[in-house]
Formats: sequence, structure tokens, C-alpha cells
Amino acid sequence: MNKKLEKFRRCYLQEIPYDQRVKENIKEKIGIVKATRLALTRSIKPYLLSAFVCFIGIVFFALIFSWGNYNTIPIYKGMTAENIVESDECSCDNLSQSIYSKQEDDVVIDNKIACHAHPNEEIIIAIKLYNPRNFTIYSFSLNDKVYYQEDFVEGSTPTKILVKFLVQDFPGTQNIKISNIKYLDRHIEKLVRFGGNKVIKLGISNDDYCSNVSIEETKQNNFIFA
Amino acid sequence: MSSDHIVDKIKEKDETAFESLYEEYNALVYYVIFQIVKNQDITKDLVQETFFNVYSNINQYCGGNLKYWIISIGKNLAINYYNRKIVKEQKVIRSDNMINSFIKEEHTGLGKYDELLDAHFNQRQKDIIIYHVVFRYSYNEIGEIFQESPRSIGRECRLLLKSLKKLVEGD
Repeated sequence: MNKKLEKFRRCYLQEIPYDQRVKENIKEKIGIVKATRLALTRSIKPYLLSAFVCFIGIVFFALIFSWGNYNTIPIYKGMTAENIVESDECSCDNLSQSIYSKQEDDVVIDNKIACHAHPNEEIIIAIKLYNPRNFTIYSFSLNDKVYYQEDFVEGSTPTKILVKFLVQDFPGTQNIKISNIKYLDRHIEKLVRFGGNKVIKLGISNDDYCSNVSIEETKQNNFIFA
Repeated sequence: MSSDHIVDKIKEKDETAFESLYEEYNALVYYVIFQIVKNQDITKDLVQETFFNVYSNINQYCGGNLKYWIISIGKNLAINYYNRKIVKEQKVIRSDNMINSFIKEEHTGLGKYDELLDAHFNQRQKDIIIYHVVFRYSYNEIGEIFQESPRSIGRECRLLLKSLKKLVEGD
């Protein structure tokens, strides 16, 4: 189109009023703003709802899964000490069996052991665990000395670990504290949860065995000496 | 956006469709209505009503040229308004029995260029010029409006454009 006519066109169009208010009035009269908002809400609502349901589902399954896993974590239930009885027939197997027969059904918490030890005597410490999936117990510490799988006395099971423990070389009492019990879950070291007394007290004297070795009553880190 | 697509969106009361429809046809509807009622305030009201009617009656639109359909709504509204006004004035005249009391309203154009056209062309010629130059109607489309052959419209249009160029040059 000719430049002059193009200029005429532009100028003529500029003369036609463009009132924004008229446009807004029309929109309001038609109800287009509300309708659009409603349409938007309608279109978003199902997505929000389905996203919410998915989220709840994921949380629910995660909770079930983690709860299932949580229930399979081994729990330390307590420990006992027992003297090694020297005899002709004495062997590690017999020793462990004797401990089993004596304490298999015991709840170790607040139990008393009817013996004590001489200085420098080796005793057997039995550690009882709740271990429903029979995870391999990898290591633990008794008075900061670490015991590994190879230190366990033959006859140890995933629910009852037996180790030899050398008592102190002077008379009196000795606390034995257990810590850092680790188990293997698919080659990954994890910590066992504690659900029993961590400390037991041994009586050590040069006399013949006559007194009890008592388990100290503790609540996790709060020790009450008997 | 094609006409069909716009119509579908209008049925859904889509805001974007309204915006594009308004931007595209506002000036045209305004022009068509103004040429009949010759009053800017009334034209604004009728433009508003035209777009409202477009939305209200969109289900009655059954294909064809959307532009013509919208213009026809605007034109009908303007004609109805004009007729109502005439009837009202006649009633007033009869009731008051005052023959010389026709109210001669001062009609002004849209602006300088509109008045220029009014001064040199009649309404038909002006419409042909505006449709072709401003709203870029083809000869066929203008022929449909005036129910004449595109060829005769083309011939007339070319003559009118020559006159318009002279006018614009003089301006």
C-alpha cells in the first residue's frame, strides 16, 4: 500500500478510541474473569488432589517400609558373666552349653549371677540380643576393648554372643560396660539398638566364690550402683 | 489464532480469546456503529453490548466469516438504537405538538481524518475507503457487504483512492 495511505490508515486508527475500561466492563459483564479463574481452579484441582493422594501414599509406604526395617534391627537385651569351670571334661562347647542351659530363658535385665571371680581370672561374658533376622554380629566393645567375630567363643549364635573376659588383677569390684555393638547388614556395618543394662558389676576377691556378681541397674547412661 | 479456534475458546470463556477478539475487531465494530449513531458515548455502550452479544450468542454462530457475524451484530444494535431514538423523538413531537422542535444534534466525526472523509465523500464512498484502506478488506469482501461485484467495487475503490491520495497530500 502507498506510504501516504498507510500513514492515513495509522492516523485514522489512532482516532478510534481504545478505552481499557470498556474492555474491562465487557469482561466483567460476560463474567470472563471469574469464569477463567473457575476454569483454572477446575483444571488444577484434580492435579492437586492426585498429587496429594500420591504424596500420602508415598509417605504411608515409606512409613511401613521404615517401620518394617526398624523392627528388624537387632536389640541388645543384656549381658551376664559366668565363671569357667575347670574339669576333665571341660571344653569350650561344654562351657557354652552350660551357660545356655542356665540362662537361655533368662531376661538378663536386673538379673543376679551367683558367682564372682579371682583377680586375673578369665570369665565368660554372655551377651543376649534380639535378632529376628539373624544378622551377623560383627564387633562390640567391653570396657573399650573391641571384640571381633574371631574373638567370639565357639557356640556363639546371632542371639547370644559369648566371649572370654580377663578380670582385673586386684580385689574389689569391676564394672564391665558394653558399647558399640555392630552388626552386618549386607556388608554394611550398623549399630545395634540398646534395650538392656549396659553395665554389670563383678565382685573380685582372693577368697573362694561365695558372693554374687550383680548387674548394675542402669537406664541407658544413668547408672545406679547396687 | 484461526476463527474456529477463537470461537471454541470463546465458548470456554477463555480470557486470551476475548483479548485477541477484542483487539482485532474493536476498531472495526466501533467504526461501523459510529457511522450509524454518530455519538461516541453511545458507540462505546453499543460496542460493549456487541461483544456481550457475541459471547451470549456464540452458540448460534455456525461457521462462515466471523468478522461479518460480529459486524452484523454491532450494526443491528446500532440500527435498533437509531430506530428507537427516532420513534422516541416522534412521540415527543406528537405529544408536545411542536413541529419545529427537532433536536439538531451536533454530530462530530471520530477525528480530523474522519471529518476530512465526511467532507469529501458520501457514506458509501467513505465506507469503501475505510474498509479497504483501514481494515484491509479485499474487493470481494467489500462486494459481499454492498452486494455488488468485486470488479465494480474495485473500479470504484481505485478512483476513490486517487481522490484520497490527493486529499492526504494536500493535508
